[in-house]
Order: sequence, then structure tokens, then C-alpha cells
Amino acid sequence: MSIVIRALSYAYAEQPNVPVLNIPEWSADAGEQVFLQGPSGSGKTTLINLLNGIFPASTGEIEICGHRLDQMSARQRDKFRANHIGCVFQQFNLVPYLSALDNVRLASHFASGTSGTSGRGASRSAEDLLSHLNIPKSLWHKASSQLSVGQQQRVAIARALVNRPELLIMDEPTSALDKKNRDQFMTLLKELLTEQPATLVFVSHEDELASHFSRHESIVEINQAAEVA
Amino acid sequence: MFLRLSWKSLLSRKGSVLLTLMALTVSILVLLGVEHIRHQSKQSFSQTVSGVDLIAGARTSSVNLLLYSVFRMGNATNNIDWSTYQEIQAMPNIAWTIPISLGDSHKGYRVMGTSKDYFTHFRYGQQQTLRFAQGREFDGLFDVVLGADVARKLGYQLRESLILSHGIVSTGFSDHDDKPFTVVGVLAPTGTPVDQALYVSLEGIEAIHINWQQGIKLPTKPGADEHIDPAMLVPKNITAMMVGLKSKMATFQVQRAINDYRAEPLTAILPGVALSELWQMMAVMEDTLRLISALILVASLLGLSAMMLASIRERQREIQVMRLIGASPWFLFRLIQAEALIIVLLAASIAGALLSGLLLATGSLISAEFGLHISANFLSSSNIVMLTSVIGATVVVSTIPAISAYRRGLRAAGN
Repeated sequence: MSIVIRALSYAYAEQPNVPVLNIPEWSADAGEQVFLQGPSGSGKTTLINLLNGIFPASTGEIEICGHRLDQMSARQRDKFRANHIGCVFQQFNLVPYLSALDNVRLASHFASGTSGTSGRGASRSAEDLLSHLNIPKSLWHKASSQLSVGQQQRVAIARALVNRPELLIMDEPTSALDKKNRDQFMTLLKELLTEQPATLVFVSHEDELASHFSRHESIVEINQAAEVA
Repeated sequence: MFLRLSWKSLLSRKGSVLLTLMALTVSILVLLGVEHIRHQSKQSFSQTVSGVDLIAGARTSSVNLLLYSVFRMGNATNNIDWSTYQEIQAMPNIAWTIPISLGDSHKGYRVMGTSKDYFTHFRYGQQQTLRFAQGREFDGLFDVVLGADVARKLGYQLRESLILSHGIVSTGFSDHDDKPFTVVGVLAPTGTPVDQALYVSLEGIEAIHINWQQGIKLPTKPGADEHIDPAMLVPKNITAMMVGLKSKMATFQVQRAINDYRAEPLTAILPGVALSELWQMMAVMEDTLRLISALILVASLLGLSAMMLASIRERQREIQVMRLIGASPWFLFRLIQAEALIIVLLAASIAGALLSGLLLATGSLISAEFGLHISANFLSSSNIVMLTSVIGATVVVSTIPAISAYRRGLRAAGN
């Protein structure tokens, strides 16, 4: 099992009695590629931030690759995220003033120096990943803010994969892209996942992408918070 | 990677960073400059006279005695009788004495009547003796030795003749124009009031005052001066005297003996003590300058903090990205502090380079105008303390934007 959630609930500190997320039971196998759909306000962003450990669970269990996130300190969750989880969001995935190469290297910088909980072996070379993702060498040293949106999203994949994470979380990664760039993005993503398998949680509202995935889920069905409230 | 990240981050905000850097450079320059000049003038001041164990004059305050005998500022309250000078000279424990006779001037520069002992025994700075740049000591009755500044400003050469005036201001009515002096020597610069005076023998002083009474020149028959009676050249009184002792142990004993002198009321002072008393009088001024420069620095450090704080808001996305790839909020805190420190360290280096350059460029001008020798090496222990506290203050002040980044990092969540 790659993701196991049991009796998980989350409420904002300002309103501790009104949980915005409540998941009695949910899990995903290692290497499984899940397509998650959900309208905004359904608790989608909250779930993502719980999975990557930015939010601490209010109650319940959340386990990623056998590690209990709910039992870790904030510091441990940060370190765990650096080593085991890769994230790509809709946009603004990169530090704007750093070059494409430095953005990828920064991710491996945060992953390095850990004891015990490191990912699957050494991280991939940033150069190797960037060439894999069709980023021309001439752009490697340019500030990432100067790249096109399509290029930025591909650099973001490279950054997400550089530490060989077990879990890849993507939130509307193609929404800002045109059709051509979107297709290229999906093709490259699938290629890389065959080469470097990882559990993928892909959140999107674009139904036409669903065909790329074996398992389809709806956040509205998973999240029972509305009923509790 | 950490330094690279903070450096690139600063470069991406060149405009505001550059302005802040300039403000800080100016204020650190002021701080270091004030401290350095203060330190150097104090040092130069305290080295105005050294190797002289006691200075004695008519009863007055120690600061006043110091002012007129060493700095040649102000006037003596009274004179010392020549017999008194001779009696003190004969006291046990006394190694040497230098008589000082003031009262005449030349174009605004004081003339000091003294003996040849002045050139042998007077010390300044680190026990340095007076050296001659040109010529030699006075020998003849109408020989004069010039201080370095006097020779340079008035452009006198050896063997030129000059006329002394009675009193401190030259009015033209009271010139000793009947008895011109010849320049026989020029002293090397010392950076002390020694440079600002002319030196003649005590006998020379007596000679020009023959036929003077109460500061008024009496009409004389021409040619009357040709035959000066040597008996008339014995000084009647002098203004003050410097004393060197055989043993420092006797200092207080001799001081008491002079203070208790029966024939006339005298004051003896230890030059070092009087110098620091005099410097103490300027302490308020000194502290005010330091306070102002410290406040300027605080203002620009707060400016730095405000600039960084404003930047945090526009860096929200960047903070999110870093959190997402595993940066802890604590990392963001350190990043902001590092950026502030880089700016301050850069500003300090630029300010240091500018200060050294300025001191090198204007050093000769300052020493010519104010007789103050300022070294270009500003890294005195007090300035190192200053720089360290600047860095400490930066760490303190930059915690404000750093905490803001930390808190934003804590709350930073996905899109």
C-alpha cells in the first residue's frame, strides 16, 4: 500500500468544530495511478495538503509508503516531503529567479542530508532529467520566469521526480496549457513513470484526461465532511 | 546552494536592494568614519607631549596650564620668577628642565623662548624627540627655529630674516622691527602644536624687550642696540617650565614640593592626567557624534527591515514552492536573515573601502590643515567592535521580516 487513510479529518484552527475534510477509509496501491475529480470547495486542496504533509491531520491516520504522517513533527513531515513526495501544481511551480537547473537542484538540496528516511537511492541528475523532458540546453541557465508556461510545467516534473519519490501529487498540472503542450506533458509523464514508477494522484477537472488513468475517483464521494457538518 | 539562493534572490530585486545597500553604506561609512577620526584624534591628542614628567607654572587650573604651555592657547595668569626656575632646577631628583617664555608672536604664530634643552629633552608621540628637517638649533642671540607648519605656511627658507611682534596679534605698532631674527633651522613635522610655533632663545626674548616697559616700546637713539650688555640678557621671569625627573617614583614628591613652593604660588601638573582631563571636557561632543551616527545606522537598518518585509508579500508564491519541495519554515527564516546579512556585509565592505580611499586621498590635506595625522587603517579594535555590533543589530532587525516569512511558510499551502 502506498497511501492509507483511516478516519482522517481536518478542520481549520479558526473553526475546530467544522471539519472541511473527513475520510473514513481510503487507500491506493503502490504504483497505482489515480485520477481524482472534484469541484472547487470539495476539500480537494485540503486533501492534497494533507497528503504532502503541509497540513497536519486533526484526527485520524494518514500513512504514506508505510510512514505515519500523523505521527511526525512538522520538521519531519517537511523532510519526508522533500525525500518521498513530488508535487506539480497548476502554475507557479518554480522559484522565479532561479534557473531551470537550479530549481531542480534546489529540490535535491532539500532531500539530501537526511538520515534513514532517504528516498530510493541517489537522486537523478538534474541535467539528465531536463534533457529527458525536452528542455533545450540553452534554457537550462535562464531564469525560470523567462520560460514559457509549457516549459515551466515540464521543468516542474523534472523537479518533482529528481529525488525518485514514491508518491507524485499533481493538481491541475495541465490546466494552464494549450492542447499541444498538454498532450506533450501527458506523454512525457507516462514515459517517465514507466521508467521510474511511482504512485500518482492526478487531480483534474479535464474529463478527456481520464482515459490515461486506470482508477477514477471523485472527491465528493471520498469526503464525508459535508454530512458530518 | 543556500548562499546561491539568497544571492539570486537579491539580484532579482536589484532596484530596492541597491537603494538599501547605498543607504547602509553611507551610514556605516559615517559610523566608522566618526569612530576612526575620534579614536585617532584622541590618540594624537594624548601624544601631544610625552616624556615630560611635570609641567609647572604660576598657580592656575591644571587644564589652563596645559593649554598655554603645551597647546599655546590662552594666557598665563602670572609668570614665574627666574630665581624660582633656578631653584626648582636645583632640586634633587630633577634630571632636566625646559623653560618656556611666551608673549610674542609672528604673523599669528606664537613665539616660544626656551633653551637648547627643548630640542634635546622634549618628547611627543611614542617618546619621539624633535628632529630638524633643515638647519640646526638656535645659537646666536637673534637665531630662530621654525615649527614645520610655520615654515610651510609662511614659506620661509633658511637664512631668511623675520620680525617678531609683541603680544599675540600683529598690529604693526608693536613690532620688534629694530631687531630682526634669522631662520637657522626648521623642525620636522610632528602633528602636534610644536609645528605651530617659532623658537628663540630666552636671551633673544630679553634682547628684543630692552627699552620696552609695560609692553610699550620706548624711543631710543639709533645705534643704541649695537652694544647689548650681557647682564641685561639674563631672563627676569618665564611663563612655565617642563620638568624631567631622574626617577618616576619621585613624581608626586616633586609635584608636592613645587605646589608648596614658598616664594610664589605655583602649580605642577602631570601632563598625561591633565590631557585626559581636557579630553574629558570634549566627551559630550564625542558622545553626541557617536549617538548621531548610531541613530543613522539604526534608521537605515530599519529601512532594510522594511524593504525585506515588503518583499515577503510579493514572494508568497516562491515561499509556497520552497515549502512544497521540503523547505521548513525555519529555512525561510534563515534565508531572509542571510539576505539581510549579505546586504549589510556588502555595505560594510564598500564603506570600509570608501573610508580607506577617502583617508588616503585626504590624509595629507587633513594633516596640513589640522595638524592631525589620520591613518588609513580604520580597523581599530573599537571599529571591529562597531562592525560586530552592526552585524548583531542586523540579525536582530531582520528577525521581523524573517518571522513574517516563517509565518507565511507555516500557512503556505497548495494553490
